[in-house]
Amino acid sequence: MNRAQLTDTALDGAIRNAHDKGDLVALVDLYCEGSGRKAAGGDADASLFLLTQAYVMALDTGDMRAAAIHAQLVAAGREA
Amino acid sequence: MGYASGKLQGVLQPVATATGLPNEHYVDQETFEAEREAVFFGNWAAVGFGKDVPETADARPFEFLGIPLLLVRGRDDTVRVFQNTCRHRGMILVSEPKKLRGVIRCPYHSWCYDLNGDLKSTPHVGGPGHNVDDNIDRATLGLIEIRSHVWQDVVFINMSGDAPPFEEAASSMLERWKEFEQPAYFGGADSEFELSVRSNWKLAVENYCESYHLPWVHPGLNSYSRLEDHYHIVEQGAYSGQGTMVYNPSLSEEQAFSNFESLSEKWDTQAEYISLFPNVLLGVHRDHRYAIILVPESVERTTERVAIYYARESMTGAEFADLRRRNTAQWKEIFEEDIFVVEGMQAGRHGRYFDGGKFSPVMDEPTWVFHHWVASQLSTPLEPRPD
Repeated sequence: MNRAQLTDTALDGAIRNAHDKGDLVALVDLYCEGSGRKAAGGDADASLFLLTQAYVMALDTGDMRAAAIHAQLVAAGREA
Repeated sequence: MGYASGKLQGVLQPVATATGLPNEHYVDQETFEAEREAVFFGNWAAVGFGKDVPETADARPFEFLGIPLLLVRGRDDTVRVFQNTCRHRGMILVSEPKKLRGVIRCPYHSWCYDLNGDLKSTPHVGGPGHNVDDNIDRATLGLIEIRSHVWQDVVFINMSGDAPPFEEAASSMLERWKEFEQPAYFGGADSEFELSVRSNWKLAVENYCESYHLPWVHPGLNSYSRLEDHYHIVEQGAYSGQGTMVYNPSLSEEQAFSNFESLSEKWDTQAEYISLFPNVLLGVHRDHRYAIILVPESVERTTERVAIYYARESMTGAEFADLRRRNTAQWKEIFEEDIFVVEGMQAGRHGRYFDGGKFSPVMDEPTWVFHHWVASQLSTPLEPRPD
């Protein structure tokens, strides 16, 4: 699945679907995609909310991206 | 408030004149709860096995005397016991055994903990997308770790936190079996089983300690491990049990387990069976050892969790599977033979005029030592401890 090609509605659907299936690895990708779109649209709060979701999923799954996502949140003043 | 300790004076007498623990120690909920604090939580209680979390990042929830606990093998290979309770709103963190890919994440608000208990993340705690708050000090909100110690793959906990170190509390036991302070290998799925017994946990201890019942309850032993071949083992305040002078396994004519390294000659034919107070029953032989953890499910129900370990890792392989199964089956048969007497004593404890019983000074000393120890733990009035 090329997440960048999903419409916003389809992305929301994919997130819900991944939650339903318990596919936490996919949720890291999906929430990061959503966060990026909100950031591009100038909605920092929404972006950082979604980035937090991605961070939690990355922590849960031991995803290597957790450290980088954490660094982004720290830089934005939203994590310790 | 607390438990009526004055009733125990009859128990705290020499074996020749002592009576056994009164009935309420076997049928009464208030007494069960008093024992929970004084006997279990104030000492080192056995709660599980290291083999329950065999690999790094394995986590296994369990309940012990009503306390939700979590057994975790960390990424440093250390086994730890935590309260299975999130520090935020008290949610149960892990509800079934699992391999932790990353952190321990609470299913309620996703507070995340490292496997050493540190609180790592508190998502949205300061508002959506704000994961910190001045009033949330993560350093003070890690998982509550319960003081634990692993000895011979048995996981012990001291809930009160104030018992002497395990090595000190069990020093006499460790000294007695120091030759067995060497690796032992869990036999695997064919080397474990559980028995559910309709009795108070103490009756399983009391029965295990003594050889007096062997000729009647285990008649199969009469041909190769007679009553006169057994001896008592007593260590006031710590453990009691029995030994045999004639351990001579005959599971197979073609195959035998390898022995532990460097044992002295006596262990060629001796084996010992000891109840380490309060709740683990142990057996050592030249070629294998086992542990039975008594889990007090309620005042009148106990689960016996049995695990058998071998002297060499090669004994856990496929080549020895049949021999292991025979060994396990033999022990299971013996422990099942004990069920009717343990359950029978439990039923008899409802006889309101039973006075706790009378000990044979010759044959019941190990059992008396256990009664005396339980009574000594309850000899001062208790303040209720918070969970």
